[in-house]
Amino acid sequence: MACVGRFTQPRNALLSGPVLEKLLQTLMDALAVGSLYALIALGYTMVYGILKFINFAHSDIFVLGAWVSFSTAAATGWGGPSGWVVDHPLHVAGWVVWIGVGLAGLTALSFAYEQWVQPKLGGDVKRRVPHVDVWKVAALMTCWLWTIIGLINVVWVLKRGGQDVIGGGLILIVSMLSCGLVGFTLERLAYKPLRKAPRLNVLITAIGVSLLLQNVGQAPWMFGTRPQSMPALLPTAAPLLTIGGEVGPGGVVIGGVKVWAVDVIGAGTAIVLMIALDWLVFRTKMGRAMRAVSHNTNTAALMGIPVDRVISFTFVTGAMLAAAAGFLYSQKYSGLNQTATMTWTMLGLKAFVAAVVGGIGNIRGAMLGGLLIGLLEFFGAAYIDSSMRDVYVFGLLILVLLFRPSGLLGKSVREKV
Amino acid sequence: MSVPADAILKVERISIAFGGLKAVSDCSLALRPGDLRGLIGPNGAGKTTVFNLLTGVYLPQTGSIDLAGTALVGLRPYQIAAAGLSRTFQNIRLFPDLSVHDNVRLACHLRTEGTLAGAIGRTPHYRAEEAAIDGFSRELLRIFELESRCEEYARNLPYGDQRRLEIARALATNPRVLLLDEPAAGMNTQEKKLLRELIRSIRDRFKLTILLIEHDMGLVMDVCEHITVLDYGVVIAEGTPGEIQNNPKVIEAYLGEAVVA
Amino acid sequence: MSYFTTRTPALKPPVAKTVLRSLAPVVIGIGVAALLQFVLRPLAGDYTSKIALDVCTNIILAVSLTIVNGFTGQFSIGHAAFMAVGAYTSACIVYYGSYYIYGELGNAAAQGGMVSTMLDGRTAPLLTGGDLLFAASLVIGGVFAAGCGYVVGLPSLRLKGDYLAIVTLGFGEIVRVLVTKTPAVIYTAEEIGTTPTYQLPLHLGGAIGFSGLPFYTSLFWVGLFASITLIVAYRLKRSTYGRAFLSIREDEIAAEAMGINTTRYKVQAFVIAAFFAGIAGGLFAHTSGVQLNPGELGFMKSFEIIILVVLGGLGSISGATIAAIVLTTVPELLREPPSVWPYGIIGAAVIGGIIAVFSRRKLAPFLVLGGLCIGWELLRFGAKQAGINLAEYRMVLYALMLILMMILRPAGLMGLGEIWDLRIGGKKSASAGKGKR
Repeated sequence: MACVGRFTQPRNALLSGPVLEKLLQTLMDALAVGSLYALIALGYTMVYGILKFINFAHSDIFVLGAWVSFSTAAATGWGGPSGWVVDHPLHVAGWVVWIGVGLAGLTALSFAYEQWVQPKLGGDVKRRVPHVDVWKVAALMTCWLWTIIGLINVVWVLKRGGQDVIGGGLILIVSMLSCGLVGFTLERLAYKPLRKAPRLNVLITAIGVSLLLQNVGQAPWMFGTRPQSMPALLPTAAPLLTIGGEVGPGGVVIGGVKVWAVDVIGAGTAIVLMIALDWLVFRTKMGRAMRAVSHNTNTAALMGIPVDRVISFTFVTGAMLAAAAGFLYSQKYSGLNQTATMTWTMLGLKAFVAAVVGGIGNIRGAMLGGLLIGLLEFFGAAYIDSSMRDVYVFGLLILVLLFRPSGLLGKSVREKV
Repeated sequence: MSVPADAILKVERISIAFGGLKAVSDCSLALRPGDLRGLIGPNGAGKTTVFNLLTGVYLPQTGSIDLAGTALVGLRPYQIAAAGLSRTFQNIRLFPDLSVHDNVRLACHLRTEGTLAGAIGRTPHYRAEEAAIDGFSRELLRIFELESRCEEYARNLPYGDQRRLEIARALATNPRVLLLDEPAAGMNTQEKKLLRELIRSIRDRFKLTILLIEHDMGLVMDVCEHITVLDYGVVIAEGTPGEIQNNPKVIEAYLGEAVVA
Repeated sequence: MSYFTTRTPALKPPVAKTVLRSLAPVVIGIGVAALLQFVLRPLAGDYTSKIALDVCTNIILAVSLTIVNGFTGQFSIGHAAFMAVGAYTSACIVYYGSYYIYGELGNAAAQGGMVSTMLDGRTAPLLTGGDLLFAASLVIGGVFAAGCGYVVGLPSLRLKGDYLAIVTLGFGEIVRVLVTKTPAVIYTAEEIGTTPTYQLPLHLGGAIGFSGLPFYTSLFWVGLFASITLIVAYRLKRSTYGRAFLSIREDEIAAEAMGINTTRYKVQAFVIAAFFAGIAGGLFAHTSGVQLNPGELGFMKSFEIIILVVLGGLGSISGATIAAIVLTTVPELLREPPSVWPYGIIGAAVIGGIIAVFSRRKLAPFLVLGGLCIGWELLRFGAKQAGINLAEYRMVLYALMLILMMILRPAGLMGLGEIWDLRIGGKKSASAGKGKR
C-alpha cells in the first residue's frame, strides 16, 4: 500500500490547530493500541467464560506471537543478516523439525499400539487409559507442526522472490498457527487434568505455565536474553495520510495528523478478526457449542457436545487472536524485549484489565473494554502525565470492580443456597 | 391467623420476587416459645426461600421479621445468628476440611468475647473460654452420638452423621429459634426414627423453638404440633396435623384439583 | 461476661506465668535469634549465613501469606506490595533518621551493635541506638503495611475469588508505579538539613532505587521475626479466631450463618499478613547486597511467595516453612550441584527415620527420599553432560514443579495439616489430599 494521498495544505483552520491535531493523533494511537488490547482480552474472556479461571499464561502467548513473528522474519531473511540468526544457526530447521519428527513417530507408535496391540491385550475397552485415541491427537499435532514448517519455507521462497507483502502476511499466519499449537498443547497437558480440580489450583497452574513460557522463552536455544529489533514487514516508512500540517523546507510535512499504515492495517486486521470471532460465536454450530459449555459444562456434555474439543477449540482461537495481536504489536513497536520483562507483562495485564472492565466472560465486553483501556491510557498519557499510564488503567479497574464487580457488560451471578 | 402476644418469632407479610417470579408473597408466621412447627409444601413452594429470608441470605422486599423484640430485616446473616436464630442447610454445608470437633467449636465463636490479641497472647480469659468451648462442644457431640468421630474430617462422615453434625453445629451458636431444612433427607428409616427422638429431646433440653421443613409427612405429622403449608409462596393453611391432613386446599396443592372435584 | 466464661469460671494462674506465656513469641524469638546470630553465624561461613538469612525472610513472607491465602482462602497476589510499603517506610526512617541522630550517612558497621552484623569477627557493644532505630523502623513499616492491608482488605467486602486477586494485583502495580514517580534520595547532610522534614519521606529514589541504606539486617533480626511470625501464626490457627478464618475458606455462606462476621475476619487476615510482610520488607531493604527498587518488589515477587505457599500446602504453616527452606536452598545448590554422597544420604536417612517413627507408613518415606536422591544425581549428571548451568533454569524448574504439583498433589505438600499432625497414624495426612471446593 503506497501513499494514497496527502493534503499538504490545511483544509480549514480548525483541523490545523495544534490542539485538534494532538487530539486526533491521540485518538488514532488509542484506537490502534486499544484494538490490540481487545484482541488479547478476547482470549482471556473466552477462556474465563468457558472454564471460569484466569488464564495468566495468555499474555505470554501474546509475547510468543510477537517473538515467533520476529524469529520467522529473521530466519527467512527480513532485516538483513541479523545477529540473532547467526547466534541461532539452525534455529527454525533445528529442534522444531526434530519435534516434528518426534511427533510423527509418536503418531505411528500410538496408532500401531491402539490399533493392533491393545485389542489383542483384551480387557475392557472403556477402562483403557487415556480415554481418547492418542494417535489422533498426535496426528493432528504432527500435521499442524509440519504445516507451520512448510509455511515458513514458503515465506522464505516468497522473500527470495521479492513478494514481501504476501510473505509478511504469511508470517502473521505462521505466528497464529504456532501459538494455536502451543495453546492446544498447554491446554491438553496442563489444564485438562485439572478439569475437576478447585479453581484456585487451575489459577496457580496458569501462573506456573506463565512462568514456564517466560523462562523457556529466555533460554539461549529459544529467543535468547537480548532484546531484538523487529524488521518492518508492513510499509511503515511514510505515513499513509497526513491531514493538516505545513510544508516545511524540502517538502517535508511538519505537524499535522499522521495516519500510519501500521495503525490502519493493525486496527483493520483486529476489527476483521473480531467480527469473524463474533460471527463464529453467535452464528455457527461451534459457537453455539461454546456458549452451551460456558453455561453448564456437564449439561452440555449430556447433550452430546464434545466438551474437550470445544474447550481446546476455545483455547486455540484465543491463542491465535493473541498471536495476531503480538504480530501487529511488534509491527507498531519494533523493539522486542526478552520474554520475561515487565513491559510484556504489563501489556498482558492491561489487556486482562480490559477483559475485566468489559465484563469477563463477555466477548463484546472484551472488545469494548480493550478500546476503553486504549483510550484511557493514551488520553491520560497525552493530557495528564505519561509516566502514570499504568495507574490510570489499574485505577479504572479498581473503580469498576468496586462499583460494578461483574464489569460493564457482565451479568452478576447469585450463589444458590 | 392471629398473632399470639408471646410469639418469639414474628414474620409479617414478607415477600420476595426473583425477576418476575414471586417466590414468597405476603407470608406470615408466628412461633410461640417452645413451638415445634412444621413448614411443608410441594416442591418449589418457597420453603427454603423463607429460611433464606429469615436468616438474611436474601433481603425481603416487603414485610418485617421480629425475633424476641429484635427486627431482623436488613441485618447481615451473622448478626441474625447472634440474635439467636440458627439454621441447617438443605444441601449440607459443613466445613469439609475441618474436623467434626472444629465444626462445632467454630460455631461457638459467636458467643465468645475474647479479642484476637488475647488469642495470640493466650490470656487467662482466652484460655478459660477455649476450655469452656471445648467442654460445651464435646457435650453437644455426645448428645448427637458423634463423640467417637471427633477428630475425623467432616467430609468423611456418612450422610446421616453429616446431617446430625449440622444440627449440632447450629445448636452450638446457642440459638433461641432453630430452623431445620429437611433434616431427614437421605436418612434411612432407622435414622429417621432416631432423628424424631432427637428433635424432641433437643427442643426440651435447650428450650428451643423449632421450625422444620420436611418432605417426610410421617415425620412431620408425628413430630410437629403445628404445621404451616406453603404453596406458590403463599401460606394456604395452618393448623394441627389432623386439621392439615383433612384440609382440601392442602390436598389440592399436593395432589391436584381432580382429586378434590 | 460471655456465654462461655459464665459456664466455667476463669482460671487464675500466677501473673508471672501469664505474662511469660503472652510474651512467649518474643522470648522464644530472642532465644532462637541469639542462637542463630551467636552460635550458627560464627560456625557457618559467609555464604551459608547469607542463605540462612534469605530462608528466614522467606519464611516470614510465606507464613504471613498463608494467613490470607491459606487460612481465609482469599487469593491475594499483591503480597510483595505490602513488602514494598514496609521496605520503603523502614528505609526512609533508618536512612533519614541516621542523619538526624548521627549527622551522617547510616552505617550499620559503625552504628549497629553485635546483633546487627553479618560481618565476621567484628567487636561492638551488644545493642546500640542504631539497632533500636532499625527495630523501631521495622515495626513502623509493619504498621504502615498493615494500614495498607486494611485498605486492600476492604474491597473484599464486595469481591470474591478471582476478582479480589485482580484488585490485589492492581494495588501492587499502583504501589510500584507510585514509588517509581518519587524524586531521588537526598545524599548530603546539608540538603537534608534544608529540606522540610515532612518532605523527606517523599524522596524514595524513584525507579533507580533507594541506595545508601545501612545493612542492619542480620541473622538475629530475621531469626527473631521469623520465630515471632511462626508462633503467632500457630497460635492464631489453633485459636477460635483461626477456626473462624478457616471457615471462611471452607464455606463462606455457612460461616456467615454460624455467626462469623466474614468481612471483619477477612480484613483482619489481610491486616495481620500485611504487618508481617511489611516487616519482611524492612528486613529485605537492609540486607547487604540488596538494592531496594520498585522493580524488585513487583508482582513476580508476589508470585514467588505464592509458589512457596502453594507448594507447602494452602493453610499449612509447617508446609510453607518447609517450602521456604527448600525453595531458597535448592537454587543455591543448583549453582554447583554437590553430590548427595555423603551428607545428602545421611540427611535423607535421618529425615526418613523421623518420619517413619511418627507415621504409620514405614517404608514410603525412605522410598520417596531415595528417589529424590537418585533424581538429584541424574539431574547433576545430565546437566554436566549437556554443559547446562542448572541455576539458569531455576524458574523453569519452579514452573514445572508448580504445574506437576497442582496436577499430582493438588493440596500441596502438607495440605491443610501440619507436620506434627502426621503422628495421628497417618490418617490425616493420607486423606489431606483432595479438598472439595
